[in-house]
Amino acid sequence: MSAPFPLDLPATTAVYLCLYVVTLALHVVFMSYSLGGACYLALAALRKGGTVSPCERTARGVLVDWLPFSLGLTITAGVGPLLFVQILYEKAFYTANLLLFYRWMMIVPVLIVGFYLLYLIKSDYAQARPWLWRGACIGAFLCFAFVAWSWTENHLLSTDPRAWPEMYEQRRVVYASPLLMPRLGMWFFGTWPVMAAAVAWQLRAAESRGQSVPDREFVRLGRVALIGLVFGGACALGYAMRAGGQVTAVLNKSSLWLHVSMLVLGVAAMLVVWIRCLTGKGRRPAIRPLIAGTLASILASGAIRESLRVEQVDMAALMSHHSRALQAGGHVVFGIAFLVNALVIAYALTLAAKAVRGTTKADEIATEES
Amino acid sequence: MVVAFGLFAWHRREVTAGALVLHMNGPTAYPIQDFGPVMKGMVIGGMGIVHVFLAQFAIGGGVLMSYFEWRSARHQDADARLFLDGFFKVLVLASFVLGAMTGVGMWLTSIQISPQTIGQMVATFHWVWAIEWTFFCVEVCCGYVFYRYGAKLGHPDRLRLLVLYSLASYGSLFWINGILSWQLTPGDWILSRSLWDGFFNPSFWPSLLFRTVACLATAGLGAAVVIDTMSLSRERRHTLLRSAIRFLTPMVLMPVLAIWYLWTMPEDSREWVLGGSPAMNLFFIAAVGASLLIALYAMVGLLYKRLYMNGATALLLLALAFGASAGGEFVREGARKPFSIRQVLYSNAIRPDAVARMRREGSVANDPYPLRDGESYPTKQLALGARVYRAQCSVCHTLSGANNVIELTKSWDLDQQRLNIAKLQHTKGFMPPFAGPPSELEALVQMLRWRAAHKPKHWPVSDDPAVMRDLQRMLDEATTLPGSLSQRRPPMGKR
Ligand code: HEC
Ligand code: HEM
Repeated sequence: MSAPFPLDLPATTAVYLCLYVVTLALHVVFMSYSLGGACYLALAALRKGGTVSPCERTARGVLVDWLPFSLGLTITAGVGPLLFVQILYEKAFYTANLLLFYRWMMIVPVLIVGFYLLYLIKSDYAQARPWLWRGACIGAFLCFAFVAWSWTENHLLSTDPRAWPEMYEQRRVVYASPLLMPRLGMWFFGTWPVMAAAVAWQLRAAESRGQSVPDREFVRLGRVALIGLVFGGACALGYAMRAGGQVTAVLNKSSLWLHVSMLVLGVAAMLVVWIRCLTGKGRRPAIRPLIAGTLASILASGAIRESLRVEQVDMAALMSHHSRALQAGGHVVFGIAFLVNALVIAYALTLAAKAVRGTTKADEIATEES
Repeated sequence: MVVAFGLFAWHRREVTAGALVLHMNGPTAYPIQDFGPVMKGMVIGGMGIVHVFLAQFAIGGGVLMSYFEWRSARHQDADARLFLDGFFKVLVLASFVLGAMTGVGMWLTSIQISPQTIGQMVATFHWVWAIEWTFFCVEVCCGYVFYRYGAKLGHPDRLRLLVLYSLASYGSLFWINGILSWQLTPGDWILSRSLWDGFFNPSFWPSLLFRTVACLATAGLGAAVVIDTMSLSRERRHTLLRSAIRFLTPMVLMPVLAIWYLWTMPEDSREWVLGGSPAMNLFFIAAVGASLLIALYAMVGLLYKRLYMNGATALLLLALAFGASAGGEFVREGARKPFSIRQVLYSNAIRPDAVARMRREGSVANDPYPLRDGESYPTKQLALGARVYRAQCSVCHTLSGANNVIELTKSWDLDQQRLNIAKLQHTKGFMPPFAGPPSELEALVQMLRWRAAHKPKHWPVSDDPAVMRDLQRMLDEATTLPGSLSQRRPPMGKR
């Protein structure tokens, strides 16, 4: 029996892999909120109806309110794995970027447009113009869906060196692979339960501050989460089937048993919480097991995703690069900067909490007076 | 920051010399991008300018806001508070969105232009980048907490958040500055390979201080634009404006800092900037001129004569500041030529110590990527020439557009072309040495002539052994060293 992935690999490679998987998981948390949330709003916008104010304590109101920040965090959190993926797979990652060329570079302007659309959705201007508001919701979702497609395509292309020369010669900037749709579907539906868990947590927090949230909001979120889990699972199955024996071979490796069990437990926790929420009387999901299950699933699936790639690329050649890179120095200062800055962020969050508490108190006083 | 500083001193001793020699794999390791008539430098420069300008605004903006917050409490200045909220909205919309995304855009563009360069930079400095990333996270979090909850917090908490925000955004400048200045002046790193030698390289401090002044000035001008849009009486706006304009005062230091910066530059780079390269000289003069205009207007008009600045003027000055940053960025990008990382990597992804080997073995022998217009070449030699051009020249030249190499060589006769390309690093010191055997050199020359002749269907193969011997002699005379290091020989054919 070997040590759990990535500890079964040489230490320096394992260091970079750990950092990559953890920072990517952080990216995926926020990315899911942004993509899943924009999809939720777009679906609501398609079904006609009025605009949604960021003050509304419903799932949609919370999303309108928080999506701009969440996208900011998605981008910020994306920089971490973007750094480590370059150390880990230098050549494969760069080559895929180069081949997709302007199609790839388009994620930059597209994200800028999507970002501003989110601010527009939140603005009084669009709130007063339902057609504009609906258009912006759908537009923002399309932007993020495009970006998700690009990352998946880039990932698949990076692991398929045989396709490189021909793509280059024929100036193709779209990489078609039978694996693309199931993989994208997996990510796409996978964002739903994550978003649902996060929004449910926000709504519960609002309730604990005395704001009232209708039952149907949690019911809707529960349905969305369950649909996402079922369809995401189906796509994962489709992916495994199309990829041939590759996926099952990796999943059977003893270095992955921990991750596979974590994934199974995490998904089970989500299923149980939501099913109980939908069938029980309280109509409120249990937030702690829900969040724990969600995070465990994200982390575990990230590690499994990575060990699949490690099987596909010529890791032996890269390992010496990793150990040389670690000698470049600076990791000690990084460790300190990381700790100090994490504390600073925690402090900023306490200030935010203080502000929220202050508002709650002010509200209470106001209600008492009236 | 203070902690980090102490650590450098300690950590410096730990780093073993010569630890990092990177695996670099020549220009043909990656598919080479083709931007048509646009020079690659223009692509990265264009993205860089926007990003740098926005970043300057964000960094200076943090300091400016901290100052106004302090003022609003100290002097019970309600207008300062009002301004602060308006300014912060602009900052969020400009810097959080555009600043962050153009930052990612810079990274992706660098990959498109030269994966080898960014690969070397990441391999050397990824921990520094990781440090910068933690600062970036603080910046976003503190900024957003202020944006969202600032109105509900008391003055001390607001000030704390703004100061943390400013420190974090200044921190990201501090860290990235070490990496960028290293590209031009790697200093002792070349021998010691010690991270901190590379980071605190000769141009680190002048570059950091210069950028600091630029940040403050940009924020001051941005603030002037915002102030003009506020619905306050002219008098009250004037009061605010006078506070904001103070942020332009450090510009008096710019001449000293610029001279210091130029002084730390390698001699050849300095020569390009001060006249050796007309284009670069022009950018330099534009940057200096624009900065001078802004500084003069601010000093004389606003601080001394106490004039009022309206929105249009402020916008105009902001545009000038943009021009100055643009000129500065182009100079910074251009002055490195022929290197993308001085003494480590030429712009065309060839390492200086690989030139001699490539003179023997060829530069495109192992190129896995076919030509995209392979069909159009009537002979193998011409196709080889096209590959050589793609690998060695296309990073700075085009075949039909900016810095068009066909145009540049059209008026020369065959011998001049052979000689000037064989001795490329002497023809113009900001080009790397030619890195291939005589056969590749001749193939390149023939390809350029064939294109200049509008691609005729038939073209003779040129493989006369006497010519090859001649070319070998020229290549030997040119040496494999960069123009700045090898003995300077005037290019005979041309002058
Ligand atoms: C590091 C960037 C760079 C690389 C690589 C480069 N050049 Fe240049 N080259 C320049 C610049 C900049 C000029 C100046 C253009 C001007 O003066 O207008 C130039 C000028 C020239 C000229 C005209 C010289 C003169 O005196 O008028 C020729 C010919 C030329 N390059 C050929 C080549 C060839 C052939 C290659 C590839 C083997 C090459 N260059 C690679 C940057 C480069
Ligand atoms: C709304 C915006 C975004 C969405 C929807 C999104 C979506 C995704 C998806 C679906 C993946 C997984 C790809 C796969 O495994 O098939 C991914 C990976 C990744 N994303 Fe994002 N992303 C977004 C923005 C960003 C940004 C701005 C960055 C960079 C700063 C970034 C950095 C990364 C990195 C480095 C990976 C790993 C790539 C790899 O290992 O191949 N993402 N993203």
